[in-house]
This record gives sequence, C-alpha cells and structure tokens, in this order.
Amino acid sequence: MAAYQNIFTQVQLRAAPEMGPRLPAMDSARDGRPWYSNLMGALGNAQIGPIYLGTLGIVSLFCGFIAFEIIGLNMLASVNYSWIQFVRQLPWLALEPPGPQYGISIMPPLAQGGWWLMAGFFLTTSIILWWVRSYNRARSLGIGTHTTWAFASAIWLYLVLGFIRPLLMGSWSEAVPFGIFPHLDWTAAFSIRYGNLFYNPFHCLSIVFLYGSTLLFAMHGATIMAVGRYGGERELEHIVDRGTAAERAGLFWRWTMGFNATYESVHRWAWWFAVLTTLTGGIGILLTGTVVDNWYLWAVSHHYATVYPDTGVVDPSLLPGAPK
Amino acid sequence: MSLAAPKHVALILGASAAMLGGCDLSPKSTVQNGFRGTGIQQVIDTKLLKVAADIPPEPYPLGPDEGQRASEIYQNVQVLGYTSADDFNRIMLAMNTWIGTGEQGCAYCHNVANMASDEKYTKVVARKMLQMTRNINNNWTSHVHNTGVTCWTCHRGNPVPVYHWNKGDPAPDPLRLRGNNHGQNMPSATVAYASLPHTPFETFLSSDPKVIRVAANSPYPSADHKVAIQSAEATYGLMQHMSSSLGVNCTYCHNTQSFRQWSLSRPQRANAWYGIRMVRDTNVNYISTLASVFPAYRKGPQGDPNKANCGTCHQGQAKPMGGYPMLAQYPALKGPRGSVSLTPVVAQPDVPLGAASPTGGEVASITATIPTGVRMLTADATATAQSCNADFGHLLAGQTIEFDTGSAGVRPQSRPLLDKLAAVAGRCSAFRMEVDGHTDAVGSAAANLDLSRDRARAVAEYLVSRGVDPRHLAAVGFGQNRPKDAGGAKDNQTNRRIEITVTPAGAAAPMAGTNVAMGRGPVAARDRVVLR
Repeated sequence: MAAYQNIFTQVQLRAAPEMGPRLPAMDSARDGRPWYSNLMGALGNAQIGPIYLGTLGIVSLFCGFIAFEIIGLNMLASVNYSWIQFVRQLPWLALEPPGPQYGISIMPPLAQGGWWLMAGFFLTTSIILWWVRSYNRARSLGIGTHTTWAFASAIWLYLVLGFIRPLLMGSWSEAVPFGIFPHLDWTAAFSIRYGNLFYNPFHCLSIVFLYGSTLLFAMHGATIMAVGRYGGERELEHIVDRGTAAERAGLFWRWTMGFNATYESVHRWAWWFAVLTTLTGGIGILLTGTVVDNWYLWAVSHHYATVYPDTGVVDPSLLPGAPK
Repeated sequence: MSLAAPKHVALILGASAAMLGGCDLSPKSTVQNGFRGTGIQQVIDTKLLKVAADIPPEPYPLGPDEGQRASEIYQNVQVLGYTSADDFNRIMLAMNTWIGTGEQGCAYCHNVANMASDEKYTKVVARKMLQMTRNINNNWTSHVHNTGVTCWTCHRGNPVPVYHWNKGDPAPDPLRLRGNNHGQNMPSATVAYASLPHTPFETFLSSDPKVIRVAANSPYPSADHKVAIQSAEATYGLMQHMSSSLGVNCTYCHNTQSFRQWSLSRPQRANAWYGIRMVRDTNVNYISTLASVFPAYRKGPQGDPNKANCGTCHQGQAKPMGGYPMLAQYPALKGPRGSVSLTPVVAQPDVPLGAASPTGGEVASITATIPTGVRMLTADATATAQSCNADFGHLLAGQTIEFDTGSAGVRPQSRPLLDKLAAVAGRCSAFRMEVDGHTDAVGSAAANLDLSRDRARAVAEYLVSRGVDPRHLAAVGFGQNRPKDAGGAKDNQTNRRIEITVTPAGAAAPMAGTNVAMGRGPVAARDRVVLR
C-alpha cells in the first residue's frame, strides 16, 4: 500500500528481459542486450533496451548530430575557439539566421546565416525522419499512431517558426536563432515588433491549452496515485472492467465538481489539450506579420483590448519644432 | 535510504539557495504610477535610495550679481565672461570639487603662471564642456527642465565621468566566423546582460541613428512598414540600458499593453524621447568635436572620446541626484543671471505635456511647539517617502477634515482623522512633510489663498500638538490655484481639501521630484484623481 505513497517507484521487476513481439521481415533487428538499472527503475521501468534503431533512426540521429555540431562549432568559433569562454558564455551564444538583406536566398554566405540554413535543414530532416520512425514503430507494434500525431503538432509549430512563416514573409531573418538566451530575447523582440502577442487570439488559445495540459496532468496524476492502494494504476484494465479504484476516483470528482472524466476519456482530454497547444500556437505565429502587423491595434479595432484612460501624453515627434 | 536523506536535503537546500542567488533580498517599496490593473508601478530598492546629502556644498554663498564682469578682469574668458568676477571664481572653485582635480587644484587645467593660457588640453575640454552644459540648460529644458545640470551631474568628483561609452573594437570581417558574434550574443553590461545587440549607443546615440520605432501603426501589414525583428532587438537593447541606468523598469514610461502607444504612456516617456536627442546632440556637437584635443589615453580604442549615455548623468537614479536642482545654486551655468529665472521650485516633469504648470502657494509659518507632557513621535526607520505618501493618501482619500465655515477652526468631529494623520506623520518624521491647503473657487482669490494657508497651518499645528516634530513640517496654502477637478462648479466640494506630501530629508524645500520614482505633491494629487 505504502508503495504508491512515495515519489519513487518502490517495486522493481527482475526477470528475463521482455524482448517484445517478433518484427516483420522487412524490419531490422533490435539492438543491444537488455540490462537492468536500479536508478532508472526508481523513476520508470528498470529494464533498459533493447532499442530499435533501423535505417530511419540511424539517419535521423546522424542528421541531428550534424545540426548539433554545426550549431556548437559556430558558437565555439564566435568565442575564438576558447573552450573556457564556450562554457562560460554558452547561454548567450547563438547561431543566427541570415539578415533581412538576404531575403529567402538559399545561398547566403556561411558566416551570414548560411550555417544557420544548413543546421536548420539537418535538424528538420532529423526531426521528420524521427517522426516517420515513430509512425512505423507504432504500426509494427499494432498500436494507434496517437504519439506520432501529437509529435506532428509540435513539428508544425517548429516548422511555422523556422520555415513556413519566414517563407511567407520572404525573409529567413524572421526565423528564430539557435541559442538559449538568444531565442528567448528573440521571443520578446518578436512580441514587441508585432505589437504584443498577448492580443493574438491563437496565442491565447495556445496558453489555455498549455496551462490546461498542466492542470489535467496534475489532476489525473494525483487521482491515479490516490487510488493506487486499490490497484488504480492498472488503468487499462479499469477501462474495460471498472474496479473499485475507478469507482472511487470518479466518485471523488463527482463529489468535488459534479462531473468526472472516465479512465479512458481523461487521456483523450489530455491528448487534445497537448496537441492543441502547439497547433493553435503555430496558427498564431503564422498569422503574425503575414496577416496582422500589430496585434494590439488589431485588438483595438475589434474592441477586444481593454481601454484605459488616455494619459494625455502625445508623441513628441509630432509637435511643431520637434528635434529630429 | 534514511541515511542518505540528509544528503538529499542538503542538496535540495543548496540548489534552492543557488537558484535564489539572483534574487535581491533588500527591502522594497512599490509605488503605483498608473491606472489600476496596468501594472504601471515602480519597485524601489529602499537601500539604494540616495539622498541629496551627496551633493557637495557650495564654496561660499551666491552673492549679488554686482561688480565687474569676469571678462573685464580676466583674459580669454570665452564662456562665462558675463558673470561677476565673484560668481566666476565661485564656479571655478566649485569645479575643483566637481571634477576632482585633487592636489593639483587650478593647475589641473591652468598654467598657474598664466591662467589665460590654453596650453593645457584640460582647459580646452573644460571650456567646451561649459558650453555643452549651457546648451543643455538652455536648449534641452524639454529633458532637464529647470532642474538643469552642472558639471557635478556627470562628473561626481571624477576627472572622467564614471559612466561613459566608446566605440568598440571594429567589427570583424563579416564573412569570418572566428571571434565574430555579430555584435550580440555575449554577456554585456550595456544591455543588462541580455543577449541583445550590445552596441545600442553606436546605433542610437551617435551621428547616424537608426530608427528606434519598430511596431507598426496599422493593424495590418503594409509595404510602408518593413521592420525586421533584429531592429526590435536593437531597440530593446537600448531600453535595457535605460532601465538599468535609471534604476526603473519598463513601466516607468510604458504601459506594456502597447509599448508603442503614446496615449497610454507616462509623461516620462516623452521626457526620455527628448533625452535621447539631448545625448545625441551632446555626443555629436560637443564631445566628439574634442577628438583631436584629448590625448590618446583619454580616448577609446578607436580614438573616440568618452561619450555620454543615459547612465552618465542618471547613475542608477530616475532623476539624477534624486532631482536635486543644483543649477539653482550656479545660475551662471545657464546664462547671465538677469536673463535666466531659476527658482528652486522646478517645473513639474510629471505633468503631461500641455497641462498648465501649477501656480505657487503661500507658505505659512508654524510657531507651535510640542506641548509639555506630549512625547515627540520618533521616525520609523523603515518608512520611505513612497510609503508615507501612500499612507497619507489612503487616510485622506474620501475623507475630509472639516473646518468651521470661513475660518481655520478644525471641527471636533475631524479629530480622529487628524490623530491618525499625526501617527503617520510621526512615523514619517525623517522626511520633510508639507501640509497643503486648497479651496474651491468661491470668493476672492486672495481671501482663498489666506484661508487655505491658515487651514494648512491649523492642521500642521494640530499635528505638532500631538507630538510631530515641527522642524519637519511646512504648511502651504494654494487657495484656488490647484483645483483637483478643474471642470466642476465653482463650489466644487472635491477642490476643498488638505493634502500632506513627503519629500526625503535633506532636499531643498520646496522642491519637486526628490523621491526617486515620482514627483511630489501635485503628482500624488493627480494620481489620486486618476487611480479610482
């Protein structure tokens, strides 16, 4: 009973490793001899491996590695190949996209964003190959492709930010730099440039689904742990054959808020909230600069921005005799 | 597991402490500066509040503007020739302190055997700087108002102002990767350690300024407004510099609902707009012209003189030196004394453009002393000018002190309110407190002025009778000159009122803008009108 009242999993299995079902003839074999990790077992399943790499996995990892190297070596070059400065300044370092003068040219000079384009190409290839691989793995296990489509939603936002929107705007300079602080400063500057993303309705939706996701995750995680003493963590069995854990979990929410998700539907809720976060977010980014140039003024024209009293301050540049 | 627990606890505590390392635990006070709900408020680190005590004393008091002119007695006086010789010497003496000439004294700039000689470069520089100071005090009152600037505003006792900027290393070959961060993405103090472009001064405060405005003035895209996100990053970099130089956050000037919208901004934004142009003028037309005068060791790696930015004067304060109007002590730094009017009562920088400047009041003399048997209230060390103004504001919001009709006698039913005010005044007696009386517009202006002065004095004297130190109290009557609601009827009840406002100790009185975040009385009163 106490086993489910700890932040770490208390029960770990040790047996002949689970190797999974036989794979179709066209698939390559799984790699590595499985082993057990006590530490990983405290967090999840103690069995590590085997891993299925396959052609797609290998090519994807290879492309990801190239992108990672391009970004890292560009950062290292920017600090004169000093490893000490690389470590000290890492959060500030970046690989920036081409400047506005290059438009959507695919051949800007390497130091002027050419490397950014290459890193973007390899990272995108890597991500898309990994996405195809996740589809194939799901299919060969005979399960649904929900993970793949959720991943697609995240890729949609990534592609809008770094590829689709810059194409529509006619300039790679509209894309996000690679870098820790630089991409955050870019985000702030993006909002300021386009008149406050707060007033972008799809940004609002994205935030609703993001915060909603965390709320649903907290509610669901808490519920399942709370009924763990009745075997409630065996959710799939309870979906088919409702046990006392599911009864109590549902009762709890009906008592507290009059309504409850079921053992099955709560996962549907969570999946949609997570997927809609990046789906709506991507739409919001796509409309920014292409359809709307100043979200605050757009909100004003749609009577959607709060109206505050005029402070009486006027633009000094409009006053007669204003200095330049 | 149980043995390992203390180690885990230590680890978690250590990690938490490391994460809090960036936090500043010193006491803060917050002032609301805008409409409720907009988050327009200023967080002030009370430990960083500087008082006027830092300002060097005058060499000797300013005498009458009499006697021979400096130009008649001394040779080669090109800027301050219009001053009296006495006034001229007084400024020269003060400059020793202001720019920290140390043991060298006059010899820092002059050949003491021939004071008129321009052989030392420092003298040529000082002359240009005096012209610059006069230019700022005359032509940039849009930024410095009548508070003005002196040499001290930037120098603060140093030959070279501590906060200045130079052109950085020349940009590397743009096609090279090695050592090329494209002018951004490194920890730089100029942009408050953001990864933003770190040369905002070259971009915006020199002879060829880039466009600073980035947001569109139309909701929809147009061919007329093509601004890259990179431009927004450059602007953002300059804003980081302003924020850290003034010790304020974005909302000191902006309503973050729309950074662009002037009609939502505070008047400080317009002030800053002029400030940017003032600094440009100073850098381009004064400092940069001295490039051939300065020796190499006084210049940057690119051979450009040390130039000004917002931090040069502000040095971490929203108003340099807390808004202390030092120029009033040295009026010749603006022009011939007969031609300049510089009262210590400065214009109200916080009043929106176009609003009438408040007219003066009449000061009452407070003769009361604390009665025997009443203990003098002691100041609360944690009280700040802001917290005091807020406390007085809360007590007086929606409550009125009742007087007998046409006289200054306080009605007994107002005693409880006055006692509460006395308690606050006691807590705040580290500061100078001013009781302001106002009337409506019924009756003659002169009679109203007298009545408001007498009522302000009556309130102040009541506070003294409850133990408030009279040395920290002033009473001023404004009559009908400062209506709270100018639009209403003549007998507008709103306008008959008493206000109590606080300025930090050591500030010259009466004076606006000594507290860091906002101006004095009239501003607080205006904010009370707005902040419903």
